[in-house]
Amino acid sequence: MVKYLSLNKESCTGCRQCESVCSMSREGVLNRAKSRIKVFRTDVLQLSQKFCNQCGERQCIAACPEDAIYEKKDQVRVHRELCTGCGRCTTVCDRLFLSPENGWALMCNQCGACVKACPEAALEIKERE
Amino acid sequence: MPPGPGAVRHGGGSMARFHKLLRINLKSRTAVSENIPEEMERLFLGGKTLATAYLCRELKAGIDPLGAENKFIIAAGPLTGTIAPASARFEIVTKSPLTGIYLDCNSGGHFGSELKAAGFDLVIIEEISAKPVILFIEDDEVRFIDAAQLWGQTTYETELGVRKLLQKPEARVLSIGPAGENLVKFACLSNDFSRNAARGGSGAVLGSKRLKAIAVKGSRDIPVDNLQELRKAADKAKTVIFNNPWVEGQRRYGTVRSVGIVNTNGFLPTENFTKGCLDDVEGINEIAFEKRIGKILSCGECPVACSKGYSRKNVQMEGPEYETVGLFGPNLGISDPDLIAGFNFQCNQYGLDTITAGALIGSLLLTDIFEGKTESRAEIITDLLEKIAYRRGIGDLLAEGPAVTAKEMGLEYQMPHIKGLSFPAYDPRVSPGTALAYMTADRGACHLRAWPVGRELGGMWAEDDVDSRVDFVKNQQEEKAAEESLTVCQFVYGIGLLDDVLGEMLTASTGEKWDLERMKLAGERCWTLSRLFNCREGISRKDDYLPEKFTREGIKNGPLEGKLISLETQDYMLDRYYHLRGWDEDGIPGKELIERLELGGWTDG
Repeated sequence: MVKYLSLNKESCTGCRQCESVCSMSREGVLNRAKSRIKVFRTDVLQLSQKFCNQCGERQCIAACPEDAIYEKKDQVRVHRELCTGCGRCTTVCDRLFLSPENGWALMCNQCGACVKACPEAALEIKERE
Repeated sequence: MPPGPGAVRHGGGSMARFHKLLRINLKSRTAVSENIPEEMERLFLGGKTLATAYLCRELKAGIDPLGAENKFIIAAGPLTGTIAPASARFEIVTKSPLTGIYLDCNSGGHFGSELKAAGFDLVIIEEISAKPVILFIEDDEVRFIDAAQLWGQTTYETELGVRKLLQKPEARVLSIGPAGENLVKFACLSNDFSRNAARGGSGAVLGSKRLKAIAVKGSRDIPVDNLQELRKAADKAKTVIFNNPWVEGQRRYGTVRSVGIVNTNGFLPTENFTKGCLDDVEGINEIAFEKRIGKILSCGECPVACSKGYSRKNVQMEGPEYETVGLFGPNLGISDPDLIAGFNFQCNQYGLDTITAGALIGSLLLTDIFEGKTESRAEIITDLLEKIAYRRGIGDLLAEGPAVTAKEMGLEYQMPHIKGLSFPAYDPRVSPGTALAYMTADRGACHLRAWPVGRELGGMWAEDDVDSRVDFVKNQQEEKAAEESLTVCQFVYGIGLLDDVLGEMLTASTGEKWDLERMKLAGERCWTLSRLFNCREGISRKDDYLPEKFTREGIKNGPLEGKLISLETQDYMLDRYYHLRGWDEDGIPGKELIERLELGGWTDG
């Protein structure tokens, strides 16, 4: 079973409370640039939300020269101590980000903090085979 | 209180601020970071009040608003960028080219929190660029980018174009359209596409500086003193917000929900502020617009999401908001929601304030611009908007705004304004308190400085109790100034500092004790400073009256038929208002007040 974050795009209003709560929960600071979920405004009435959805392709694992991205019990994870911030993972996938402070890869780990914070109930943690 | 986990204290002072202002000189293309003295933050809180203090200190009296000496100040308040609900707002403060006096504009979206994350509480933009330019602020780095290829483009094209040019999808963009470039005196600023900082011509100020757009991208930790306490207070604030009975309708329908309510109560401007209601508003009320919602959007950190994205055929935008529906609808005798949305969209593209544009065109309805023409009213309006934005033909005069146009065309009676600013979509004759709120608003006829009408119509005060209304207006002006200094959305908190949760959030954010009284004191400083600024430009009691039309002519139909606000009532209210404010009988702030508020020397320039 793979746990993953899922979004109902119709419900998302782009308030970005998911971003702030993610940075507080995962990084201990308030900094939307350190969030593992990002909401972009792409056009007048269009949003684009990006976060790791634990896809089956997992090109990030192959792209990492340091083996810092790995699989643990079916989940993709980032090993902080091994990540050098080279950014190769972000050249194969736009669903993970680099920390503006040290370049470390920021990847959703399904902690669910954003799920609770979303005022539109647009997010949930799901499981699939 | 100890700093929260990972919080960084910037510059040794209170938290929730970076204590930095960015001073941009467009002529020399330099950007310098300066410290904001702690004393300034103690007195002026942040946002609107702090920016007003800088404007007063740095602008000389009598300068040309479209000349090199005018400055354009952008401010993020101490709560901007935090998790305080509905706090991603920002303020623009400058001298207005439309009114020649103080101007501040407040806008939502996400630009404010992005600016804060770049590490600045204020940006002061000075001088004039030799060539069209885009400013890009990315944390400490400031770039001046040639704007030749974007000059002439609409605001939506500009916003998309700037993000593409920078290759920064996260960047937030504040831009002007053709109206700003052509120095239309009620040109607005646009951000997040359809969110406008609109009244008073801030877009023309940027146009005069040849600054097409300001883009920001920030990646700094927001310095919050106690994140845990702030999270608790923010949760409480959400409860306060959802307990506000007004919020439910706002969340479902947005501001257009007011169309029906204002019409029923008889103060919906109809046919150039002649009548107060329509027989039937069903075609343009919240139900009509709900059918046209394509996407619901929200400003940063807002749980209400009042922005309803209109989507039909080629028109996609946030809005139309209530004011636009009122002034382009009943005020112009238009009852088709898609036509109203079309005018709104057109104004957005040009970067034109819809309130001023709708009010101005309304005043022309009985002139030969409309009378005896074969084109439809809608066609004439569309044509006029284009002419205004590009200053073609009659548009060149209209672009100067209501005061100049009225004088030139001999339309003083039917083109109402206060201090050069047209009225928004609430007839001032509805109640004495509303009239006073307009008469004394810092930037001219503005509905966002005090809002007594709900309480007046709700029967809070006896019919003849004018004093309580005056007291309320004075008090709420200060509360709203405080909200715009924080900066939080005044809508969702119930319009005015009604709950101490704002103080709790500010205390948790800054690490300093802030309560409602202390925030209100900053608001009082704001009102005194903006008045001193205006008095320096020649404003006094003579400018604080309603236009003749509203003093002499009663509303022509509906529940308020015959209602007007007499000169006698206006004089009575002004006397009391000035006295409460500590201003003399001519409306000039007195020495004692200036001393008590520690404002000596702030407006000597």
